[in-house]
Amino acid sequence: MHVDELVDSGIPTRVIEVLKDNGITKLYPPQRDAVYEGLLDLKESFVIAVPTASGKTLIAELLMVKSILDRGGKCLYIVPLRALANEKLEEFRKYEKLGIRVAISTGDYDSSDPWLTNYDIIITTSEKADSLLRHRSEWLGMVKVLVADEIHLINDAGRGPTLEVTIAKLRHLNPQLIVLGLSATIKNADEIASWLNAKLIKSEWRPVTLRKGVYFNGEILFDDSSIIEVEPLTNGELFNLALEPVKESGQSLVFVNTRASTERFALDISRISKKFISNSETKALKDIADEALNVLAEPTRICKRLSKCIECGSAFHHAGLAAEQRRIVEEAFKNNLIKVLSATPTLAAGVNLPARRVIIRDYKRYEPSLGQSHIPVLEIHQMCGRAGRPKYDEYGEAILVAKSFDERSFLLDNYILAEPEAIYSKLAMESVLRVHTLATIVTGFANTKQGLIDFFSKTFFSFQQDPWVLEGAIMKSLEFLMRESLLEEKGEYITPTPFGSRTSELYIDPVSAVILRNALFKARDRDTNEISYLQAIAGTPELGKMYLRKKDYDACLEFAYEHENYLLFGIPSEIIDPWNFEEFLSNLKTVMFFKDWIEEVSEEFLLKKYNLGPGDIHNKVELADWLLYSMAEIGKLFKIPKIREVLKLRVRVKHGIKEELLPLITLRGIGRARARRLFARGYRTLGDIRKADVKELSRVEMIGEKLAKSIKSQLEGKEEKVGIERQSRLADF
Amino acid sequence: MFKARLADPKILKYSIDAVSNMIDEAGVSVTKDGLRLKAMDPAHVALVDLELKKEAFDEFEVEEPLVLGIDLERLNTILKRAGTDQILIQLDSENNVLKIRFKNSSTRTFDLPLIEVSEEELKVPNLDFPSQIEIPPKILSESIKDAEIVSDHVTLMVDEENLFISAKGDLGNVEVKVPKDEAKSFEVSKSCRSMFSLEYLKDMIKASDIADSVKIYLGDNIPVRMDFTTENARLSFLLAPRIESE
Repeated sequence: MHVDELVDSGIPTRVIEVLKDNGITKLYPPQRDAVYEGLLDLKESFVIAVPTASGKTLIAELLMVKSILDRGGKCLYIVPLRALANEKLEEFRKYEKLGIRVAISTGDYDSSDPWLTNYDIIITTSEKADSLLRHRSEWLGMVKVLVADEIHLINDAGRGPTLEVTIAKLRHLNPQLIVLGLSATIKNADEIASWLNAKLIKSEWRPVTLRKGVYFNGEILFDDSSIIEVEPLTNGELFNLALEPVKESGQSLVFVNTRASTERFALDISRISKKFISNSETKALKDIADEALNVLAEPTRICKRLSKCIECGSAFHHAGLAAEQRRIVEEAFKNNLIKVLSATPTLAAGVNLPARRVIIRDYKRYEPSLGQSHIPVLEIHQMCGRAGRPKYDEYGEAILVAKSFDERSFLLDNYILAEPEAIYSKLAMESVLRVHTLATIVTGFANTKQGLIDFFSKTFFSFQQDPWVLEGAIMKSLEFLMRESLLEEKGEYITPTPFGSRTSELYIDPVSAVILRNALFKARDRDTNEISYLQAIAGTPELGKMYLRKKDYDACLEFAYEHENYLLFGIPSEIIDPWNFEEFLSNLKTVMFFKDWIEEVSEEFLLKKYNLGPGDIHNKVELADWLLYSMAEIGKLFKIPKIREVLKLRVRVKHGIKEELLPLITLRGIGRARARRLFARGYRTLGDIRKADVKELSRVEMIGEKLAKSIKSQLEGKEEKVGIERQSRLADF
Repeated sequence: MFKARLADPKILKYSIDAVSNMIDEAGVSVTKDGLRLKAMDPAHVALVDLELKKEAFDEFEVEEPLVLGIDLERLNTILKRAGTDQILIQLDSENNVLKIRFKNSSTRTFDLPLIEVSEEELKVPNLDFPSQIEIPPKILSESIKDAEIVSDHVTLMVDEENLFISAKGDLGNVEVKVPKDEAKSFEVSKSCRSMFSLEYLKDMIKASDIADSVKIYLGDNIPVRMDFTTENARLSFLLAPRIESE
């Protein structure tokens, strides 16, 4: 179907011109089907269950643009990952010339973002959408189209329930809402469609042909029973498999199950992959390698490894990398400079990084509660779906790797030829429901027990599974929330307490709010220091547990004794209460980590000591920042004077600095490393810096002339507040 | 010989708690009229004057006036253990200790060793206060707690109509307004303001829980005097202000 035919469905020609300007002239079959089925009549909701890269986004674009031009109102586009919001923003920008305004709303969970009133398309995550609902953002009532990208993630135990509840709430808020669910091909897409009262478009069509197969003993057996041999370039089988497309100017993407494996594989193959890069590429890769090496103030081991790989045309990609490094790797891969990329399966769910050949080395992985378990078919298919670059490759290949003849048949039957699993709502867990029960009452979606049950009956869970299960879990959550005074019962009505309302707005787990509140009450009447507050946040479910190795036991216990006077929660008995004892120690490990961080221990050392990646530090710091903010907010509510200590700690944690650097860190462009260098050179206060000139400042290590100038201009006209008043003595009078 | 009994320990507990953070050790004079503690903190920023009349005690016996050197910090830790028990205080001059007994179903005895205190003359500034306001202590203590949330110092200000207690900080501002009508007495000859450290005030307001009223004597950039009073006791503070340097 040619895009010109869209006129018949009411798409104005100026929109079609925009499409053509961006190289879109024909609609893919699933896109055409959606249009034929009446998507653009703006009367019905739709669920589109098609493979990756088969043009789902364009379907959403057509729907949103039509809706905005025809009848005004807003469109909310929910992406599964924050990192994808920017990608979508770039794609939707093309409609700005039609006067359509596009914005991103992610991040700060304690704001209603009223400025969004001025935008037509708002891209957000399900968590942020949920938080906007909790802040009762008025413009949410103007949302007419809701796009839920990767709606099959309802299946995800961690984030699925939020997506599901957010959809239910938005539909409740606006019964006329048109929902467009974009899904991977799943077995029960029809169930999702019936839940949403939507038409289903299901298709296996792909823009690039996909061949799936299993590798064993030098050959690949494909799903069409054909067999091809893999040229033995080296004596490593996986290397041969990965390098074969590279020889013909293609790329390979290799999925392995741990971060360490991604690094090892990329390093190993880098010795061979460097033979496949041209002279011009060598130069470009060298620059990229330097860039990746220097994203942090001081390069860590991982930075060095990554840089070394990139120079040779390989790379690894996992959540432990700094965000900037991930971006660099992704871009270099898209530009076909990096030839072989090894990644953990999380990549398949996120960024769009197609390669001619996808190799899936591991089909098992470690699950915290289950041990080694099989990766679901749905996920393996998602990984396979990354094979084949539209416009570049004629076909894509997805290959699993077998270690025995039997395993080859197993993989063929259970993965290659198998249908993806059905998805199930994970809403009925108490840990999940207490969050949503609280939010539902606080935002007024329900104010009685029956009201709660009625509200949750609109979720996918109730549609799909036994509502009685849900009811039991709701009642348990209610009990907890009332016992801890987040909610209270007034006759038949259930109302939130100020503590409950604030908890919901702060977007933290009620359990965390209770921990933080209890800690503050303990802190009120005793001596406290940073250890006290770090211990409080370390116990929250958000921050999660750090894995306690055998050798950590003694170190943590010793640390506990050393700081016992400042611990808000005492040391449990190992014998009477072994479970809590272990939990206590594991929390202390987190405390030790943050203590080291704010004592300015080098990142390199932290990574080694705590077995983390640079991205992990960033994630932990971001979470701790939010929890300390929440702690201060709860402190304000209960009028606990200690919150200034908490806020001071928050700044220290955010930047990883000792207290003495607090004045310097207020300058833009000055982080932990630069502040420390200034301090070492004798610039200890803003007053010291004010006295210095640009030339003197630029002599400090890591401070160039440009930054020195910026520092000076920041200080101009900014009166130093510190020390204006001094304490007098009685004898002065 | 000195012996005293308190059926309700509250008044002693709270006043020592209010004082002990500022002043480590002090000489307590005991006369037939009662107890009196007058001392200045080591930084010479605050002066404390505590008077417990003998009527505040259920029993009070003393032969001749004496001065007891007391480690207030330790006394405070001991008193914190009192709960609602009846308290007996007895001087054991032979061992130079003060015996403090808590009596309930059991009897617990603490020995508080007396210490040497130098009896230096306190230089109490002579001040004229243009304003004197008496308010319920609860209002003062709540405002100080509000101020602590945003800052480490607070401004007290009066005009003809109101008393203002306000604080400014990076986290926002707090202002508490107490209108004339809410005050028990309100004598203001001119508007005035002074700023004070919360470090001291937050201890001082601990006396609020036992006082019936607090009288605030305020001027322009001069110390503030706060008298917390009840029928048989008075706890009075003089606190030097924070003033603009240069």
